[in-house]
Amino acid sequence: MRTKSSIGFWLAAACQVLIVLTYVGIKEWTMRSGRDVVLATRPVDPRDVFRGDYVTLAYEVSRLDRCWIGVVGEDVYVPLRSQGEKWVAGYPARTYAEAAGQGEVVMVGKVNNRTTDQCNVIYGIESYYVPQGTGAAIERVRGQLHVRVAVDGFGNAVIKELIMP
Amino acid sequence: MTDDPFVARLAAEVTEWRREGVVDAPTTRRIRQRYGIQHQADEGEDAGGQGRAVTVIGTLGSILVGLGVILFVASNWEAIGRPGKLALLLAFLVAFSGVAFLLRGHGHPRIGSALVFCSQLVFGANIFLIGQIYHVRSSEPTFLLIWAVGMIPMAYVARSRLTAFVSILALLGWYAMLLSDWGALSGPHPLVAPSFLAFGLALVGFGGVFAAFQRTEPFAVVTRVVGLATAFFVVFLLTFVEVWRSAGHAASTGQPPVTAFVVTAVLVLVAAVVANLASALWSRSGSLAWIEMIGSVCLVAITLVMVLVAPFGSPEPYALLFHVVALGAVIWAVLLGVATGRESLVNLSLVLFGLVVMARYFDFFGTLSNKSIGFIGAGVLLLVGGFVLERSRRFLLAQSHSLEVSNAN
Repeated sequence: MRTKSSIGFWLAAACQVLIVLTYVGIKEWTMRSGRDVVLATRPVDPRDVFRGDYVTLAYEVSRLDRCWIGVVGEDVYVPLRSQGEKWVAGYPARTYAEAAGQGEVVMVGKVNNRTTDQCNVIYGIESYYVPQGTGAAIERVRGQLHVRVAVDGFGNAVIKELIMP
Repeated sequence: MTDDPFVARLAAEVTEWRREGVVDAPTTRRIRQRYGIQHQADEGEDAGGQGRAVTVIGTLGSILVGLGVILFVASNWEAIGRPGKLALLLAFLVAFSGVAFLLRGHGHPRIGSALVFCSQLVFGANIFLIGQIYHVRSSEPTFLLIWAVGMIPMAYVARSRLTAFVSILALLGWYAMLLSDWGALSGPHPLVAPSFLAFGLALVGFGGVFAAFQRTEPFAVVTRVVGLATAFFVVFLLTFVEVWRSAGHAASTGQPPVTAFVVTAVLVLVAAVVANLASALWSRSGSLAWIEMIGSVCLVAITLVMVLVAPFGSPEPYALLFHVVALGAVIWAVLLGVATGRESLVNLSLVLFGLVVMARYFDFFGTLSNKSIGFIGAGVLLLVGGFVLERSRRFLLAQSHSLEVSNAN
């Protein structure tokens, strides 16, 4: 009986370690296998009490003109194509395949605000964590920042680095 | 373990009596002492003031240690590389689980249980800090879902009610963040209220199902309390005219909701009905369980009809109706709580009543004269209700007494 409960305890603990490792594995896979794109940003500087300082990033590809699909909360696929140093967005689509026809890389995001023909999309890469007290320095170069992002074959993105001007 | 079949049977019966509330904790302890029954207390089970003190102090210590771990990793953030951070976080998780296991198995069940809770805080810290390593946005709902789901097996095997409590809260938080992500809370969308109400009542139903099985019984009360508190909080919010006004405004000017939200809301509604039905079927309370189930379904149905059919042209009648619903819910919960011996039902209903009265008091503070009649009317209604209840209680007691006398003869 005691052995059975010991096994149960360690299985539960192993399950938690496995959850953590799976989460890490998914992010590492995106980071290592994904294609690098450089996105232009505009940061603001809030504070997350649990996790030190971070800057909130709003990307140029976050605000989409001529965006006729997607209600607030809906997933959309945004095609990206390179334009010199940075990448710009095409028209969002409802499926990956539809978006893939328009660009070199496709990023999946969620519509979080919209007007009749414009929408704001979040990609899950809107926070960049920095050492405490250094957020203000990044804030000073607002509008000149770029972020290198890895985008995997499913459209998921992970931030690789912040490129200061 | 005793060889005497009577004592063995008594040991099992006493545990059952305590679980059903037939005997209180001190009586249970005295019976066990009289017959020399060995009993290993579950976490949270009353074992006297000293036991409680150990649990409380241990839990507070766990919270401090958990916070310390988060701060330690955060303060050394720049000094440690990505693999180092990951290794450190996992090492903390395994270490806390290991120490908790050793203490639980070597005569320190309470401190061990406190450390189990601590390990769950460290598990949460792992998820959030890994999110930070990969710069995942802070409002990502998945964090809370992973944390909540990951805690469930540990709560079950360690029989940790505190872990179950935090897991349920995390699940609620995840649902709120998910709805926010879908844009349903900005407005808010009319389906939000019945959906949260159903979420709460689904928890009440699951609590009822947990109560039916010995292995899950320790989690029944905590699940029911969080569920009912959620449902009552939604009812409380629906007594505000402003809530109905903003919901009406959102419905007239807002966009259609995202399909995922509608599908999830429907699934939660179905889960609430199924869980309460299962709870009634498996319950040992007989007809009272069915009354509870019907009450829960009616509460969701009224809210659904009000938000979907929208029969009134202005927000005031909705708020007024939900004052009646809140009063009905309070009386329903008090009667049910008294009949089933579930103190938490009575306490939560009194909290709901107090919140509604306080809110209206502050609302009407400047124009009390023409509203005071409403308070007097509601008060008189409750006093009459109490009077009738007391009389019926005396009648029932007299009946049962005469029945016992005739049986004895």
